[in-house]
Amino acid sequence: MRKHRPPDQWPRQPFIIDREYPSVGLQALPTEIFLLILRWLPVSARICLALTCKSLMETLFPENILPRLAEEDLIALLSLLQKDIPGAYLCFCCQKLRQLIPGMDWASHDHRWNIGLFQNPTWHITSHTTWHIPAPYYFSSFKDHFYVDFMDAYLVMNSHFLGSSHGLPLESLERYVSFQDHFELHNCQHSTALQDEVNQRFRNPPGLEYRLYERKEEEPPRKKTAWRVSFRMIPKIVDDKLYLARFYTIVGPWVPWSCMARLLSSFSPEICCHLQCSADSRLLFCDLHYGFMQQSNPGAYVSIAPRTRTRQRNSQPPKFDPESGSCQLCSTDYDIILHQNQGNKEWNFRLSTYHCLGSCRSPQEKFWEYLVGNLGEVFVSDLIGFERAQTPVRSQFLESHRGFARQTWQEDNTYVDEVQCRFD
Amino acid sequence: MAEAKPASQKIWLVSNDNATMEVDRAVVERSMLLKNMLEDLGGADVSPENPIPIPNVNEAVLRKVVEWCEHHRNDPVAAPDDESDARKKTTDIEEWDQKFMQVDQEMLFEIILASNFLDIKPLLDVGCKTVANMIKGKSPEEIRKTFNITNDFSAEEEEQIRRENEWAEDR
Repeated sequence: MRKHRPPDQWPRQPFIIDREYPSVGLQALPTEIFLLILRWLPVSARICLALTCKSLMETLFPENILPRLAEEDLIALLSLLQKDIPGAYLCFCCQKLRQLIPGMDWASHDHRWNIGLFQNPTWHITSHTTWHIPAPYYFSSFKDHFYVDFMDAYLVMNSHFLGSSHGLPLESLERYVSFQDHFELHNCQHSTALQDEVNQRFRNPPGLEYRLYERKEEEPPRKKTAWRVSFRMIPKIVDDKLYLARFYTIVGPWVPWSCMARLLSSFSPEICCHLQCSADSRLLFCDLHYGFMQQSNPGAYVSIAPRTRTRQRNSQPPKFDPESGSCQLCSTDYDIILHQNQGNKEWNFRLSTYHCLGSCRSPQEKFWEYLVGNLGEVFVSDLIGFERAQTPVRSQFLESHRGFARQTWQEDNTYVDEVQCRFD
Repeated sequence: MAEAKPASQKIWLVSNDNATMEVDRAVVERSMLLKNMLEDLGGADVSPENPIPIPNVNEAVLRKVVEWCEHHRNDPVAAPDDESDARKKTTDIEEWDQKFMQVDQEMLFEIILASNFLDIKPLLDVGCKTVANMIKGKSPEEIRKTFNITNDFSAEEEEQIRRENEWAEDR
């Protein structure tokens, strides 16, 4: 039986402890409690804590020797340390802190390529182009403007989160490039076999008029028989996420639909890494690869063929319904408009794509990874909805964002620009 | 005279600034220190005139601690060796506890000290997690500002640490 002590024998001061706490604060906590707090901290946070003052450094790392960090922890630490050093940024490529050089972008620096966590470093949309018409040899330099490096996006968001000295301005992600040229739309070429010949033959053809018009440059009016091809990219940051809208326009003379279809399918304007536009009429083309590619990448093409397949009469332009949709594999929404402008007697094609790149804090973020990533094995598992351990199904993630990039970009009216107005 | 049922039995506590408060025994027993003491000594003799003294804890802090114990009075008591992985891994704090911990730093540290002293492990965990969450995601300078720590490293020493650990690119 438990024996109780009478109240008069209760210790009146039973809980006095020896230690006197001088004042309340992090540094004044008893060691045992301080250690309890450390238990909840990752190593990167412990090092940051140690770097606040010498006494905490001695408490946390008595030998003043900081541990060698695994790659993931090192990135976490450097992403915190960059905040305290003016002009510094974390380079995922070098896995070091680097200083921004004013007026220069990330690609202007020399970098040590550490592969590791720095996967999917570039969003480079490469299309499966099949040239049904002679290729303009400078077309690749036109397309060079289409890519986005992760570090470019990261530095823009760094500027947003940490201040302008730690990154690049939002405008650094703007792109505008345009050219005018004549195309031989009746010249149906087989792309692979004749590519060299095409390049040679058209390297300096007489009467060629082209020039890439960079952003802010005055663009001359379109010549009557020439085609103008333009690409513009406009970035926005909304709710701490980076959004890009890309506008791809082709304007040219009123040629028969078969010629227009050849032009569009030769350029194959890219919607994202997984989708591109094409004219859905194989009979118009000489290239057999087209049919093969379509079969091996089902759904990889968004058709912009006329909805009404009535025979085209002389003055009856085909009807095209605008296409709108979302990619099932990344956060891309798109709108496609193709029409014949009766007044100007010209074709107008416009592809608008909207992309959410997320907060771009790491190349492993879902938004970036889905946008850039190749399909690989994930493609099958995601499409059939098979959930692997600890891997959320992509389709479930994207379902909640379908149409979100377009809506967010369009509803945000922070960017008004004369070029944008001209597109509209 | 029959003893009152332990759960509804009233216990009186007195803070170090002589504020007495009446608390259900079930609430008081969230503190392992007081629970063991009551088991050892019995609670029948505790009265408003003879409350249990809680030195080192003032009235404001004691009221906060009692408020937490009231809210969590029916929580299952974790076994002493129940350092489960789930509890260890995450610094997530349930919503009520987050709001409870929205106090100034002085009160936060007082609650931590009181919960340590009274041996209320779950409250101690919540307090420590709250402090950990205040540190996580912050740079050294941000931590200094948060906790009012004076930087006694010189710029050269900071640079040396970065160089020795190869955190910065030389070029």
